[in-house]
Amino acid sequence: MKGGGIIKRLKFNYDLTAAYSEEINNHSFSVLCIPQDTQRQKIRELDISTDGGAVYQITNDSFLNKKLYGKINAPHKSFGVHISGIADAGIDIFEEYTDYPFGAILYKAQTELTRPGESLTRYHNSFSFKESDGVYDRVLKIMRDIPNVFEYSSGSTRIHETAEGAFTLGKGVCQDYAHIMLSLLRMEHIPARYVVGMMLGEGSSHAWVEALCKGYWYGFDPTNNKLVNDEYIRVSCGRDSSDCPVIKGSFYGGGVQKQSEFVSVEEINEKD
Amino acid sequence: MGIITVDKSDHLFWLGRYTERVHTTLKYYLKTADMMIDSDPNYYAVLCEKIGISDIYGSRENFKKKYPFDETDSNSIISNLNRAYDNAIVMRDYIGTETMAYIQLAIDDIKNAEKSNSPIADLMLVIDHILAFWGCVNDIIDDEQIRNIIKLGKGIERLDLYLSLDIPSYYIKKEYKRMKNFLTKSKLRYDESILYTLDNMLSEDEFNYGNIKNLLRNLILE
Amino acid sequence: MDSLIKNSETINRLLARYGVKFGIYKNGEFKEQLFPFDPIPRIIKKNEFSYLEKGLRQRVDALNCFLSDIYGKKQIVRDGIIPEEFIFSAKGFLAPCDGVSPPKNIYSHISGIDLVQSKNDSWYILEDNLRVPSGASYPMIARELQRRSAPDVFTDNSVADNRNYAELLSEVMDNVNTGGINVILSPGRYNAAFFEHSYLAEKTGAVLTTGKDIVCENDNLYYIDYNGKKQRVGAVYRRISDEYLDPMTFYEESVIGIPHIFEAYKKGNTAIINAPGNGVADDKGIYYFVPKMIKYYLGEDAVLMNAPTYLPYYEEDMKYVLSNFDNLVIKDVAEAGGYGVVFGSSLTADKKSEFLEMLKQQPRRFIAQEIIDFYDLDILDENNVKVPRKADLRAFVLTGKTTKVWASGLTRFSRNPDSFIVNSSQGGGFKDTWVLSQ
Repeated sequence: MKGGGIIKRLKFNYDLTAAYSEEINNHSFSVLCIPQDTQRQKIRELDISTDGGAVYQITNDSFLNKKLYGKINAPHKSFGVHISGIADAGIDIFEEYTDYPFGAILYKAQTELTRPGESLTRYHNSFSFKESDGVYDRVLKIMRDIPNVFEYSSGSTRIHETAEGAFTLGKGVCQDYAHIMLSLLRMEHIPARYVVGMMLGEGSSHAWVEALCKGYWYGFDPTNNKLVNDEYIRVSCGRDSSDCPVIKGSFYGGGVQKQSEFVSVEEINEKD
Repeated sequence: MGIITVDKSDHLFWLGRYTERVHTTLKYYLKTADMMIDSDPNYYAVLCEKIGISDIYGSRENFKKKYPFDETDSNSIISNLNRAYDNAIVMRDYIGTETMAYIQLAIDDIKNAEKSNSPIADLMLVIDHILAFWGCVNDIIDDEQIRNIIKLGKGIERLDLYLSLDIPSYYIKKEYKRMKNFLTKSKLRYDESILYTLDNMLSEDEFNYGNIKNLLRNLILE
Repeated sequence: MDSLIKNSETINRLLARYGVKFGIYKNGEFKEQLFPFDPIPRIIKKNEFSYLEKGLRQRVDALNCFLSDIYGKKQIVRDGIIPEEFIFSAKGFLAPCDGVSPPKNIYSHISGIDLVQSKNDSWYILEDNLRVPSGASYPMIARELQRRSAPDVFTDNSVADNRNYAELLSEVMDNVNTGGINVILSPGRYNAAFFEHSYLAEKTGAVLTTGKDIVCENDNLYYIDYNGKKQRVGAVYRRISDEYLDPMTFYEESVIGIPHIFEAYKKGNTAIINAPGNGVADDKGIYYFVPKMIKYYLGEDAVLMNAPTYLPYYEEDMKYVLSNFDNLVIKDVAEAGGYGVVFGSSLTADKKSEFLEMLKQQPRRFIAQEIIDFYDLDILDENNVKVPRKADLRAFVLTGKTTKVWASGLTRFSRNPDSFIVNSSQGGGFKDTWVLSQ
């Protein structure tokens, strides 16, 4: 299972815009949408641009995500961040576990969003794993089973819906799939983290799960019931979606705010 | 201290204005109450018109009871004193607990006067404590600029009220000179062309009170 | 002492004059209330204070070690002294603080440690407050006023002067200041403790701000005057909670914080007092482990005892709690300010079985404690008659170059004879606390 996967060369574009019905000023922002090198992917020709005369800096947050942040003082009605580049994806199918920053301990704890209630606890009990079942097998079994009890539907869950809330409803989006899977994995005491990224095709960003199996982080996409492979570009990770907000803003004025994101990832065949 | 932000200078300026508004309107309230005894029972309506507040009182008795004490009336003396308090309480570190205490005492005075058998006589204590407050501003506050911003607010408010109350021009000229002194020392931004016009107008023996009032209201820049 | 009682009206009048108030919201409206003051002081003898001092310094030093460990190597968890569930699923653990060391590695600069004295004279720790403990200003100003209303009392008794709190606080701020001015960050005048924020600013010479005048540029904090002139900020004594501190790192909707202040802090360009993330150490669940921390980090036995506490999380403790429920007080670890406290004996049979069910479902959520037989303090009731009431003591422990205990404290009492709840938000009053210097 270990070793090199199939490598795809992916050209990606990530456009994030926020529009305000009235002018805003003293606008502080922070954005998490910069992919970086991992064991699984190498990023080249990274290009970052912002509009609205933003002065920005880049730092690592505590999950080692690349955070772009800054301020625009002058009045403006829209703000955008555009990231593009080329990713070699699928170089490896896992990422080796490192003790920094948290070790795995943090990812074993349930959070406000993943803490199970009655229905998730009942669902978890239905798996009846045996002591001898391997960690990877458990994770796989859980991912394979979720589509039997949960269906994809956009617009039915709130932005910060809990795993229990979405599960009770029976339908939701990729974020809800990921939270449900995280909740189940953590009930199994398997360290697991929430991942935001891009997937081959056009649309919005995607979310999936990484689970720590015998010293390696493996990616699992419960929404598509797929193992994370060379069609995926990883952007950020955290304990749940609230650690990975794509954009945050604080400002005076503004009226109604509308945010939109457009992500496109296509395969290219250029040679080195 | 040395650092005064926009918000803070605003609070100091309005602290000056509201304490002065309480001081002068209270003095005229006492004068009005006196006139209503035997010379003009409805004089309160004249006062209302002069200082530009709507006459919601309807009767002499009602005016005497409500104008100083009614906290639900936004034009009342207590409402203005509460606004002075609101501006003082956020400036404790600049003006000092001792100075602030006199605003608190003035509020207590008004509340006690309302319950007293001789409210009008007891209201004079409010004036005493406002004067003590200004004494403290002079005596306790080391920072010259802080003092001058408060005094500028006080000076501008006094001019505004004096012009409304048709006080003789001699006093207007005197107060204008005092105010100008604080204006430059306060280091606040002001409209120089307005100041120039005011200087010219006030050098005459006769001048239009209404015009001067309007100019004064636009003198200080935001 | 009698003159203090005789002059109690004078002192209350003076407290009103100086605006010694706290704010509360009643039916959605903000009101300021005088904090009821009782003239009879709590008196702590010199040797007793030395004992408290030793225990409090030890406790706060260990808690600082713990915070540095948790946001660093997490050795105490790896060594199995504290189960990981108590740390990483606690609300107070803030992931953004992981791996960030505050200036001089001090996390809790100002610690408010609540103690009670039992009938047999032993002191017990009730809880630790390491986030934004408030209350020091009240005894400070009450002492100032009592010295005016009854000077002879202080000539006749050797009472340590407690008005040095502002100096201690300035030392603490200066010690971690990274270059620039000290500011006190307040949520504004409609905060319950605004009197204290403004009073401490006046007494320490720090600048009081609501954050609107502060900007973060290139990871540095600046205070901006009316001309647009900037002055660097080297230490922020913030009186707002972690969640509201930086909308770009914590709660996005916060309008009272300073955007990007956390980045300035992370890079060591400003000190935040107390450090963000301290909530992980003053959690009621973690309280149980503090004596173990003292042993683990300092290699010493705890001088001051915890109230005997059980963690239903441990099976053995759960058994004990279930069979002794009526003799215990149960506390919800997430609540504060006297809320979420249940006396086992006070519940009806129905309520009790309902509660026990919840306890079994969520054992991690509660702690159970033996009820301490409080040593009551006398207060004067409405008719100026002395009556005994429950009281606690908040000791203020300040960590600068060294850890010092302020020779005074906030003694809060319950005005209701049947109540153990002393919080001002629930109608309690306060007393001065005298530490005798001879």
